[in-house]
Amino acid sequence: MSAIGALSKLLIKEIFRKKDFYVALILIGVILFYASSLNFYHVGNAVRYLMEIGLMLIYLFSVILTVSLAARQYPSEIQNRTCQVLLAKPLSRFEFVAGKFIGSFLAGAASFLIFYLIFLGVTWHKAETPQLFDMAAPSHGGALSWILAFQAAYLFLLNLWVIASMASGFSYYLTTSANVSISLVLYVLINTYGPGLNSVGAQHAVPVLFQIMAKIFYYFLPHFEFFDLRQRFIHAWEPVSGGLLLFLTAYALVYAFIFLILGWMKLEKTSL
Amino acid sequence: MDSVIEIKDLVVSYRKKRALDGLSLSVKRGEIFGFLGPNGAGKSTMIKTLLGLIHPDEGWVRLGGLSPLDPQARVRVGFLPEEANYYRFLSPVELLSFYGEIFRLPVSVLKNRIEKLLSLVGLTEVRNKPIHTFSKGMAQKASLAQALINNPETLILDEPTAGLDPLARMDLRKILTDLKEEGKTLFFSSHELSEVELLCDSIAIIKSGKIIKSGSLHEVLEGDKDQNLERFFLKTVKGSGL
Amino acid sequence: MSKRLPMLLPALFFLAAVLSYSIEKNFHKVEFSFNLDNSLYRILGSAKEAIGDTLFLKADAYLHGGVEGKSDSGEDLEKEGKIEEREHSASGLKTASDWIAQVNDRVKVHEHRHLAKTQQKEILPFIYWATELDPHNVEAVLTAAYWLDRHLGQTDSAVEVLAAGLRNNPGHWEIEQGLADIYFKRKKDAILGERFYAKAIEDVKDKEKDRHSLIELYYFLGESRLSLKKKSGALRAYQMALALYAANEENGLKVQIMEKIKELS
Repeated sequence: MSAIGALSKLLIKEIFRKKDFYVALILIGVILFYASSLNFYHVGNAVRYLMEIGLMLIYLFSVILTVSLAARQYPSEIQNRTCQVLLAKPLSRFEFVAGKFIGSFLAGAASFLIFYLIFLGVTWHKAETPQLFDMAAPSHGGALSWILAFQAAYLFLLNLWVIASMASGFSYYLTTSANVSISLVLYVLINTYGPGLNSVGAQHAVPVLFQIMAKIFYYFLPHFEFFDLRQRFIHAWEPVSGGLLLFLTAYALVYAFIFLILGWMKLEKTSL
Repeated sequence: MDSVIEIKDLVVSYRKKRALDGLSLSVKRGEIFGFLGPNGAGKSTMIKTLLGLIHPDEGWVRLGGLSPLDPQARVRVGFLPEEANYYRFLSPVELLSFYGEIFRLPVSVLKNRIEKLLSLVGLTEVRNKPIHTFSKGMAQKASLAQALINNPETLILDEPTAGLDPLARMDLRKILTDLKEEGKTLFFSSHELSEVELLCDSIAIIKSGKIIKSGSLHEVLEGDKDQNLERFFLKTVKGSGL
Repeated sequence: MSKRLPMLLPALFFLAAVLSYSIEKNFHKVEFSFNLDNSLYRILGSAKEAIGDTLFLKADAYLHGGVEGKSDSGEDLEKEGKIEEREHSASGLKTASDWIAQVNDRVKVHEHRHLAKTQQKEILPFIYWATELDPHNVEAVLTAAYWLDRHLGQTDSAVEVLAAGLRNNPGHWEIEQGLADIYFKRKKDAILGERFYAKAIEDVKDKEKDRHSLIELYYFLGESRLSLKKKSGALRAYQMALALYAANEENGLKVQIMEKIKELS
């Protein structure tokens, strides 16, 4: 565990010492600041559009930062030959794979939480009557439900957990650029079309090969849309149940395990 | 003296070409062992196999009595690579802390050891500067420090003096000699035959994946009228017919 | 210098963003022909209208608690807080056939609920950008004016929106009707009310299809003339309205018109 912890700390240092995080932070800050200053038709304190823009930006940047960090870990270790020095230490290949994944996730999560705090601050400032500890009821006049804020953040962290494991697992098979492209494309496709893939697979007008592919994608690829609670959060619907949160946590853990095992199996057989 | 490193009938292949072809040797505890050979002979492959980075096709390797594929075998081993490539955004202190944590060293022990090592290699003044600002020589010093972070019993070095100026080479020689006096086992590959002649107790000469000569320095040069390692090496490598 | 450049760039970017906000606020004071519409077209090209239409649909989704689907009738828009099953979107989640669809059903919301009164302002940003990006989207203009005037108490802003809409869509009778309604019914300005009712009547193109709207226009034209003490003009307007009814058509408005005609005759 100490070795995994050391690797994780290394990745957190890496993300905060490179420019990517700060570029994202400044862009988010500028856009949120500008968007929050807008008044439409002299009616102030509309806040949901700001939440929509803010959440979209921080979700997008967090995913990009996490995927690009996870995807470049193993290839850059090989290219820079730091891998040989590292694995010459008493570090098993599984610890290496796990450390790189957990580090990528923690680094992405740290970035996300910083963005999220800024977002909550800007939104709270803009909103009229933010409800503290508003547990359930929608539309009580408050713009923010803290329980939903927590649930949305928690589910997005699970989302990062799965995408980090996917990019990390792929990194033992693909180059950095191929991995980033494929991971991000899959992420966007599944988020956008994931729920509809089953109906594509059932349509007889579609060629059989596409039907099979749609079914395979539907049942075997992780459904990232499960972790997107923005609709509930922005529009102050009821929070999701604790049972659903537990199920989604288990779902995320299973997929992370699968991707990591795939990565470990490849690294275990690789001669460095 | 028991053997720290034992290799028997080792075969390693890359794309159907044998990089190591039935190689056998042993290194006793406390000795400095030089591993010589021309470019492409298999020296780096040997070192990587010794560290568990490459899976052998045939034969076996033992490092402190354990297979090098077992991480436990590397607990008391230090490795100095040929090129000092490290995480460029880290400072020497951070780099040594990182590797120290991999070795699960207690915090207080690690802190003291980092100070000692930085002083030993002469990097105390630049301890907090990122490595990407270092010259090649300074990076090599940081590399040596990380190889010693766990106070290893066995030190494996791949071309340790490559690219160093004469002063740096002299410093390194002194450090290696001091380590030998502490009872450490040193195994290194090198092209610098003068260094090997000065430091080593035993050597092995490898060509095309096979050991063509091995033994103590005295044994290897016995019978050679020049008693000069460089000339002996050239004669042996050229005339071996491999 | 090259080391400081990465730090300078974000600062320059921030400054540019702040400046652009200030410049935009003062656009209308500048006389040369660089207007917002052209700059948006330059940036977005022909996607401008498509984005505007998408944002209008977004406003509708916001009105229904973030749930996309068919719009309601005018009466439904008045209801708040009532939760119903909304017609499901094309993703086919009407009956959750497997566990994945069931999870999606629990995460996403498909119910039907309107914004509470205090939150109706939330649709304004999308309505605003819908009208900015597609000035020829008359429905967006009318919707914006409706919400501003009827629900948010921003009558003057509603007039601005309709006036801008009329500039971009000259001769559009629905916008003229909107202006007439605001001037006459809300601001009690019968002069402007009469003018816009008359213009709207003149601009109605399909008199058969828009017959009922035409009846209403004539009626309120009569009302505005009546409040200006133009009795003969009011009578003519009521008579025009009555003439548009079919022989067997009866409703409350017809009864009112007939009473007005009787009073004035």
